[in-house]
Amino acid sequence: MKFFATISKREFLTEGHRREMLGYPVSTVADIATDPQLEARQFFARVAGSAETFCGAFAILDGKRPALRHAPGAPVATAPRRQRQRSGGQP
Amino acid sequence: MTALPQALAGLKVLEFGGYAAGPHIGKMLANFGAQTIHVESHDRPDGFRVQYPPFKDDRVGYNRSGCFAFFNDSKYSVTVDLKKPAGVELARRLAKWCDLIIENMRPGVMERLGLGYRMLAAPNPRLVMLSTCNMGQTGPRADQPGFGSQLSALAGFCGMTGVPDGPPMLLYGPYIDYVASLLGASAALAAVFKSRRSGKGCHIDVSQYECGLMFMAGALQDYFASGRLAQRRGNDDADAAPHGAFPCRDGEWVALSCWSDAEFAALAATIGKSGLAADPAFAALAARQAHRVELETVIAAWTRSRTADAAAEALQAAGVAAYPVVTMAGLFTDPQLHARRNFRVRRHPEMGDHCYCFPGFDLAETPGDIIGPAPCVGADNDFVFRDLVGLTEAEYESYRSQGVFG
Repeated sequence: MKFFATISKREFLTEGHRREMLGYPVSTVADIATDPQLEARQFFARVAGSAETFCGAFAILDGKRPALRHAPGAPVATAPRRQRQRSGGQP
Repeated sequence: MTALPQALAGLKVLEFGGYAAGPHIGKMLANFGAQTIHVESHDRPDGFRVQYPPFKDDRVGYNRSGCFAFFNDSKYSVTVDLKKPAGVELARRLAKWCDLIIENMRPGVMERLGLGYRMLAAPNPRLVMLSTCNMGQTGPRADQPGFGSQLSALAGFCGMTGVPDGPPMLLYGPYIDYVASLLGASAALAAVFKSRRSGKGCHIDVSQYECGLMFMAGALQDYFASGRLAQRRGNDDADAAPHGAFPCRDGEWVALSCWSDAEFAALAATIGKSGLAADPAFAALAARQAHRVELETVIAAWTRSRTADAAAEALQAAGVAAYPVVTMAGLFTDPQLHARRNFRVRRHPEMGDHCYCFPGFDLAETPGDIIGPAPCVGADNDFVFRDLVGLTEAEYESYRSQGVFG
């Protein structure tokens, strides 16, 4: 306990990673919002029509994180019916 | 075993890895008919087989683990020694046969084994691979090893759990693994759907940490918007009072919440204290929060004289959100779970009759099932490699003599 009182959470996280230790600090939302890991993976996202920051898509596909498509409550753009039929295959 | 057609019949799934986060995805797919093969070896079995209790009759053994059984029913098990070049070659043949690979190794391990997505997708372009790990495949801490029980702390869950003046509380079990595996299953199915339409698979990178943050989205959004730091507050809630667990007869507990003044009035009437709803000390949310101790004392006096089931039933009948705090034993006697066949007994070669857990969702026209018990380690080598992959007898014997099925 005395040892842990001498290091910050971020130091514990960084050094724990370097030493391949099992263990994580107890984060606040501020810690999460500034986590370099999430920043590197561009997890937090904004969308047109909103000044707010959101959690981004939960998966990365072929190296790219899908963009958030619209702000909460905003209308969802849909492809014209004819185009959807053309691009579709088996249901 | 169901005789009805299943939604995922014909889908061929391969799993590399172990524990919960990867295998739980494969289990859900297997329950709906996907032919799911769990790849391990005698030297490197799934960690759940040997590391975590409970074990049948408290004796540790590859085929005696309750944890392994929980996440691996309805699958086949094969053993392939990936340290041998011939083992890697055999794994590639399996990958050519399948539609979807789920792996939860540390990032880079599949590539180092010669089983990276690009290599496997070259001869099988429709292949979908889902990689799930603590941090995701990229980023400065991508290779950090870890388990869900501690990852829940990094993702903010533990800091929000506990009383304000006390320490953060660790959650029961690898909570975040369940968030990530349910999201992972939906991503995998969407990618398979797209692959069948387009002929092109993809690699899905799932970070269990990021999946867990979906659970924290409200608190994070509040922080970004206002700078407010969400704090743990015991059982209290900003928008509900009362909101907590109350002692009942025989050491039982009931959890209840009132999210409006009308719900509180219903609770007050149910406990025989209708006057509380008009009392300025309790009528409105802020007043109830200010007089929390007095209010909880009154409610506890009522709950203590009842069983948890009776208290919950009376409150539910009045429109108040309430449930008994159920023990493990209580889950197995819950009539609701029984009616929905949540637990299904299947006979395991070593553990005997064992209760398996069905997913919390089902399909009306193509219902899922616990197709079979969790497999014994390597039990399906013959069937998978001869009948599914189509090895000739000479090939099978060659792999066997090289110790590939180790």
